[in-house]
Amino acid sequence: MIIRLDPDSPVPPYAQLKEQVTTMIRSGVLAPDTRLPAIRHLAADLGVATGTVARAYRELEAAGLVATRGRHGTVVQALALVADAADDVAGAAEAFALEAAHRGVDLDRALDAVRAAFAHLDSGLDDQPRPA
Amino acid sequence: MATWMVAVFLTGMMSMAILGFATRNLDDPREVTGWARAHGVELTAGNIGLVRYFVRLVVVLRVTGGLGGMLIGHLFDDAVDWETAVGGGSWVWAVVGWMVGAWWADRCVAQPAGPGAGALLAARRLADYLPWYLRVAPALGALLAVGLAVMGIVDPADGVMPHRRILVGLAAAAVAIAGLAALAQHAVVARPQPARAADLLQADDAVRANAVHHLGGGATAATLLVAAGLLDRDELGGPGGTTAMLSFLALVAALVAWRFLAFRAFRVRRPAGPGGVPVGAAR
Repeated sequence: MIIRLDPDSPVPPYAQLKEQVTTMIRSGVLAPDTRLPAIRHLAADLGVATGTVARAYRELEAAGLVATRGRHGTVVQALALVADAADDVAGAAEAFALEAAHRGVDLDRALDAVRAAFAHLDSGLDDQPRPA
Repeated sequence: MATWMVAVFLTGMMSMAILGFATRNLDDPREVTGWARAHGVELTAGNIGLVRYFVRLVVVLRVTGGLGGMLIGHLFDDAVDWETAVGGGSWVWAVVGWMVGAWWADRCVAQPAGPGAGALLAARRLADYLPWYLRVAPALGALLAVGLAVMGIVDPADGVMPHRRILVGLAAAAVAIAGLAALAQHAVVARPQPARAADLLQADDAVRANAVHHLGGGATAATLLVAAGLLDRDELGGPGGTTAMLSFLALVAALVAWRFLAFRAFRVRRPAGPGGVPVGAAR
């Protein structure tokens, strides 16, 4: 439940924040109806401008992951948990792409890593005992 | 009961309380462990420094603030040629100074946000640090003062010409105290809470709860002191010394609010996250 921003990352702070919150929502760490901190509270805690947090919240809202409910603030949307598999994969891919960019890995090397992971997965499946 | 008896009673009680706190042995480790236990803080190598510093600092700043408040009240009266710091008014200034001291101590121990510091992804609300009755008590005290002032202006005791300016001034002072205390409480909740470690977060939450309790309890006491002053005025003089008795009761209520609301130890409980793990706990 702790957000950390890397000031040395080429990824802008709002994108880092959005990515981390997205991951928490998709993985179920942030349950539906969980209230997110007020924009100025989170900005003060992270030492960033309120506009940075506001932009991340806006993009999360546009993605349907959170909703602004007046005086109740910003809350996690229940819809996020019933998103279909394609959405889940797209979200995971987005998180992976952000992580790769954050670590300075280019597209080719990132795709190589994905292929290697699939190959590893296939070999693991091959090792499974087959039904008689 | 004569006003001077009430003043002597209140002065004696408050002086004993201030002297009691001012002469405490702050180097006694039991002060720190007792405070931590009361506030539900588990002392660790990571947070004991913060807790020890706060427990010492808050006592010094509150007492200094209280005495400074009295002094400023007299200086204010000298400057504007009013009489706000006489009798019970002097204690209103003392309580306000006390509250400033509590607020200042909280600011002093605030951890700076910056590179490497994380943030807890959980909403912070005043309700997390303060029970509902202490959130409304200062407003009720101010409302009482306003009601009494209005009563003194609209329906003064027989043969008494109301001093509108004084009555309105007292009511405005009560509203200002309650309003400023509420603003200060929200500032305490809003101040940065960088998440470096779970034990520091726990200590920081306890410090915040302590500060908002002193602001809420202090504001309740101060507004009740103003109400007591209003009840003691000629404009509200009822039959058989009823208002004098009510004034005394308001003074006692102020003392009770100050002692039992401001000094109430409160354990901040974070809502459970997935798997029942408290939000912010080390995982």
